[in-house]
Amino acid sequence: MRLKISDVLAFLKAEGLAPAGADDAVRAALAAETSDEMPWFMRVAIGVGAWLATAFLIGSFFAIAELEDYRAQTIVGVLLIGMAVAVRRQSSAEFLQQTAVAASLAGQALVIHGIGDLFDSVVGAGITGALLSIALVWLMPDRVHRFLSALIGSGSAVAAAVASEAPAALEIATLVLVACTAYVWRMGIRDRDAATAEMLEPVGYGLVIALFGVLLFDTMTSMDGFRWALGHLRQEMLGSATTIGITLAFMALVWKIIDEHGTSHRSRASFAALAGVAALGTGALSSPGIVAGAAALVLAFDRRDRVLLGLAVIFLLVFGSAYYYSLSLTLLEKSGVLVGSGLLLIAIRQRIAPSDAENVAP
Amino acid sequence: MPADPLELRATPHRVRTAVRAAGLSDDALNRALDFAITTPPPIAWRRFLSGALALLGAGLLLAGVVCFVAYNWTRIGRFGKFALIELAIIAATLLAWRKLPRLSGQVALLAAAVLVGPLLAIYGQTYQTGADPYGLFLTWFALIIPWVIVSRFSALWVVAILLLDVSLLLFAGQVIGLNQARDMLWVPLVIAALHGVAVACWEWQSGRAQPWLDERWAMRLVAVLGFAALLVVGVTFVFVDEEAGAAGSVGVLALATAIGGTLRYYRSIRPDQFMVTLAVVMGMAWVTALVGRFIMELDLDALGFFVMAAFVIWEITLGVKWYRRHAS
Repeated sequence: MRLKISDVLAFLKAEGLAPAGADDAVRAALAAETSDEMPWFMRVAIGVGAWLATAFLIGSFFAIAELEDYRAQTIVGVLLIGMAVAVRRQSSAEFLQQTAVAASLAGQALVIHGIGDLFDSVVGAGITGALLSIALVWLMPDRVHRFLSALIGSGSAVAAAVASEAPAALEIATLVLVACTAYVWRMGIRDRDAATAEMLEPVGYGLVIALFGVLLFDTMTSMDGFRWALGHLRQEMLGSATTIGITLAFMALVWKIIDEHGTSHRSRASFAALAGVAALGTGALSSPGIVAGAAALVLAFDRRDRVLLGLAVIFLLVFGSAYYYSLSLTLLEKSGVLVGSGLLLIAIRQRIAPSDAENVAP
Repeated sequence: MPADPLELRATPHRVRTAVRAAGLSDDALNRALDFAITTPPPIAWRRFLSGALALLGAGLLLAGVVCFVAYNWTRIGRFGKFALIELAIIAATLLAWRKLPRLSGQVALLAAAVLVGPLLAIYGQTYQTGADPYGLFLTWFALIIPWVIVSRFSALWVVAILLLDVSLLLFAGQVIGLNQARDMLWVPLVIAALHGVAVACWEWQSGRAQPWLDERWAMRLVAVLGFAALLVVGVTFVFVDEEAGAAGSVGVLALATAIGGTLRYYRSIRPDQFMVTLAVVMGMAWVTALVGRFIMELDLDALGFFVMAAFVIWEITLGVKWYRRHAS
């Protein structure tokens, strides 16, 4: 699915823009890059390990009686973060680099907890967490840490929004998350310098997972099984404005894809695509997760990203199931809606499926 | 980690580096960037959306049928219930017969296989056979085997293995009535063995000139579940020791053997970084549990947490270093 350098070279050769012997020169130029590449499952394993080490570090700090005071927590936390950033930026030793990641995460936990205690406010802790994470995405040159910073920052912002109980605060926070995700994955990619691109790549995954986490939490507050624990949060949760915002972002993505195909926006296919997205948003107005899942699926194929595709499939299944489960309809009516939806999708599929001849052609 | 730099993902930065290194023109650079960054061509989009809509549509249809049956459960007579499900199975099978080996045919056969479960449930309810639930899942598994073979669909293969897992779990709980730790631990061991056999069979057939299945995600998923089952036994043995009985000791041995075998096979014979990483991570997880047990018994308070943190960091470091040295 994803494009490799060899695919690009093959394309240029086919266009007559590159000689047959270009491979060796390219190989030599990119040799240094192979040392930093790591597949997603290695990064997941390292991330889980980093969290585990952080949990133990936090446990050790909180077990020290002198650190019960919020001032001590904040000071120790800031020092830990500072040292961690310095070590990670300077050191090439693997052990020190991993220690720096765990120490930075533990330091952030101390600072967030300390500030939260200082102001006795979840909002204060949340804002601190969000600002710290933004700074550390830039300062900490570590992919796993940047991914975790995106998660922590998003989670902190959402927690602050919910705790503030301000009208539409969570909707605004969620829409900002959507906008950040759209920017990282789709805007200005061509002109980004190498350092910025490297910085933002893990952040993109963190933002997507954080967004789905918020949408999943929102879905859970409206489900019967969780109402006893989360029902009191329902009025602060997401409304149609979030679905409309995500739908508009989805339409912007489809618009961009149509642009890149060189197709007119007035063509029937373009109209059908945009109308389809609008219809999905309208039909699932109470469930932003479905629109977000569909948008992520399209984005994943657009960016040729298998990991994002896997995430989108999982979330679409989860939100789809939750949506139909929570419909206030009898089982008979639900079965009608499900069968109708299924037949509609299959009918659309029949309309757009390439013919056998088109499938055989390159 | 790709050994050949040409197998690296085509990011804009790498494309620029490649084009400059090859001494190509600005026009070539622009074309290359267009190719690497822009969205896939329309025909690729149509194939993707066609596949996605087929799968989603089939899933929704299936769910709708299940809801319909559930709603009319008490209203429909016994023959009506059988007729409904059997008609759905026949329709799905006929569609599969027409469309195989295409994706729509495979999805149709998956739907037919899934519907066999409700059919057996209705049979059990209608005739009050008194059979244990494990029998339903085992029969379900047995009945769909021909379709699993014919469909050559990885998802259906995974479904079949999961059915076998569920029937094993139910058998252990309801028939044998296991309720002691030392006895219950045999269940995940049997499941792990089953998954090991499934992975071995998958690898054997993938080496044939025309493999029956070739999607590695399915084999990896089965392997992950098998290793997870072994890890449960291994970690339980660490924390409950003698109470785990023979199953605990066998579990630890089996985990070590599985790790060793996986490393040997997937490093030397059929290179697969995911499987190697899986085996290493499972080994590290078990060792972490062992060290944690040891630290707990020393009762070191804050120092104990710190030692655990340092140990985990050391493991990560070791893992990354080992990966960088051996992945190419």
